[in-house]
Amino acid sequence: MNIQHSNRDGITVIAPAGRIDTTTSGALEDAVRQAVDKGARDLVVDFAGVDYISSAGLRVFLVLAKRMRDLQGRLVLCGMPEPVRQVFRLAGFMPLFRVEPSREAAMARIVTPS
Amino acid sequence: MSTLRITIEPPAGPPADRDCSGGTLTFGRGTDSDVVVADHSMSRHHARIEAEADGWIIEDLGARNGTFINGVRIQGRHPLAPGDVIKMGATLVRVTEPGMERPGALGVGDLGSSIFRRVEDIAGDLDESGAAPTRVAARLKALNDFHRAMAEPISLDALLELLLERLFAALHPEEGVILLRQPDGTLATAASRRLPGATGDLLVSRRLISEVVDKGTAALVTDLALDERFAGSDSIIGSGIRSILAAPISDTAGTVGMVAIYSRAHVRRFGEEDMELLVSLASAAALRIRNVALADEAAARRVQDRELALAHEIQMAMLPRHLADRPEIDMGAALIPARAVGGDLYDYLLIGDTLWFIVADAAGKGVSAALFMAVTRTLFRAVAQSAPSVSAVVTRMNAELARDNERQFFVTALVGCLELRSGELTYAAAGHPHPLRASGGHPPESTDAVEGGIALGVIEDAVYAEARLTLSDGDVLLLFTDGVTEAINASGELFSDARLLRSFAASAARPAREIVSSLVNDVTFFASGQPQEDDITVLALRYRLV
Repeated sequence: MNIQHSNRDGITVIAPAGRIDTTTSGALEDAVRQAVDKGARDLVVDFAGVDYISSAGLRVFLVLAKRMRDLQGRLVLCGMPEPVRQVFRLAGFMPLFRVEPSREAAMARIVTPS
Repeated sequence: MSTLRITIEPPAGPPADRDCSGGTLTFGRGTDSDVVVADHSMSRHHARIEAEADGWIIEDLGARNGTFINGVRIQGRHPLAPGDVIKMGATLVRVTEPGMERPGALGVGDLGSSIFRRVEDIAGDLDESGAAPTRVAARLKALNDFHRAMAEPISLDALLELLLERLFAALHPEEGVILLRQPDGTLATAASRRLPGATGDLLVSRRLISEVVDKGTAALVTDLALDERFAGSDSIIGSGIRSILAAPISDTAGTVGMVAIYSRAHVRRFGEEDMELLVSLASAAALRIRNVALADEAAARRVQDRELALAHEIQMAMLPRHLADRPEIDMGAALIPARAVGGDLYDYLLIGDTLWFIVADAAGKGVSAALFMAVTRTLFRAVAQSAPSVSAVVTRMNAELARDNERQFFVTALVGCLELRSGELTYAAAGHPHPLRASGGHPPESTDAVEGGIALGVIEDAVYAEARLTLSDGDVLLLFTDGVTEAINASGELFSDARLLRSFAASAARPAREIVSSLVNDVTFFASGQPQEDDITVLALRYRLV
């Protein structure tokens, strides 16, 4: 798995690519934790490059969402391919996240929250 | 800017010189000072000498016992000139210029006080050593003893102890330390020994490590106070140590560590012959250290494997040994963990004419998942005994699991309750796939008429809706975890819901046990050659109207 970071207009975008499973979720968890530790409060996670996410991968986003709620930050997920969306949906996690189809829509959602 | 010569005279031990031609020089007890002095009346960060455009100044860094110049306590910054005597704690610092005569002081640098030699050269010299025959005999004996002892099976700790013991017997140091490279590449003290009465921290100079370990040279320092190499940031001035002997522990594959012994001036100074013996012992030890370290690692792994095998047994024992024995039901189940222990679970409880069952999948793999699985099973058993409905069971299990769940572990579960007299089935899905049902010779279908709730452990006050249906005589329910549908073959395809339905359709008429085994075979065959990514659990249940 490879994790891209970028920052635009104060919004941190994290774009993991590849499989998010038991083996790789630790690295992703560290990456998002570090971003938040460094002060990121407006966060977009772009799943466009993610092939697969396991339950261990889901846990990373539960922890992140909880932390962002505690910090009163904003988190938007986007670009979910259908198999990834399926895994979130099956676990019943969709209502816990703000999800947008594209990165642009996710950034716009942060700029003007609905 | 003139160069200053700073002579440090600690309360114990010999004086040492430093030349300053610019920049700053910090003094203190703390090891991050430029000049570290073992003087307990000094502060950790005591004072600083600094070059300014028009001369030198000294600044007290808020030292508890103050900084005095020529007997007068200074506040903050104060000009400094050759001839000044600074007092920090019990330590005197004399300021002169190079070339100025310092009465009673030793000359510096002209004694060639330290020797660094390539290990190979020393090994070659051993035979021609001009030492007295009796000493050579004693040393050969030390070497022989060591070699003989190492021929026996020995643990790493015992080997290091033996090395230190032989060194103390042959070379009579006051302190000795062995550093070994750790798996993360850093060096750490693996063994140390000191004569009774030696005090203070055992100091290993970073400079010494760099000379010995990084360059692979043996080091003989006969007078530390005079050695400029060790007058750097990690100087050990004032520790009283006067002589150091150190050798790398190296084999053909590289340096695995170093061994160093120390002596104080009044006890003994080491010589070149001592260096030769140390190098010989260190290289004899090197080969065994690497082998023993590998053997220790293998032994630790065996212990861990045994623990995991035991954990596997314990976990398997949590699964029901016998499936429900009632004329109304025919059950079959299988659980194949991806690792020694896993997060999947199936269980059932027969209470009167009611059959409660659960199939669950704790997030992740390995020990953390297994522990969460065990908690889930216990909760299921406790709650199902008394709760009025499936919805109530799942809601209560969730509330328990979600409480104080900072790390957001979660478990997906399907909990069902079958009235054996009537065939009425109630179930609730918490982030888990709905069961499949095969009925009346028709192709099996998913029973996902009611939307499932969120996985257990995430939202403390989540509520779970229940689905109801009535099983007819001969209907088969198939419960599974996503390890089935997400099994991957060599071309990266998932086993998928479609293959699951096909497999079930082909075996639905057979006994429950065979439905399970044929599905497990299909998944295993599909994923053959690929590592199993997730635990696989299947439970089949056929209902018969009696």
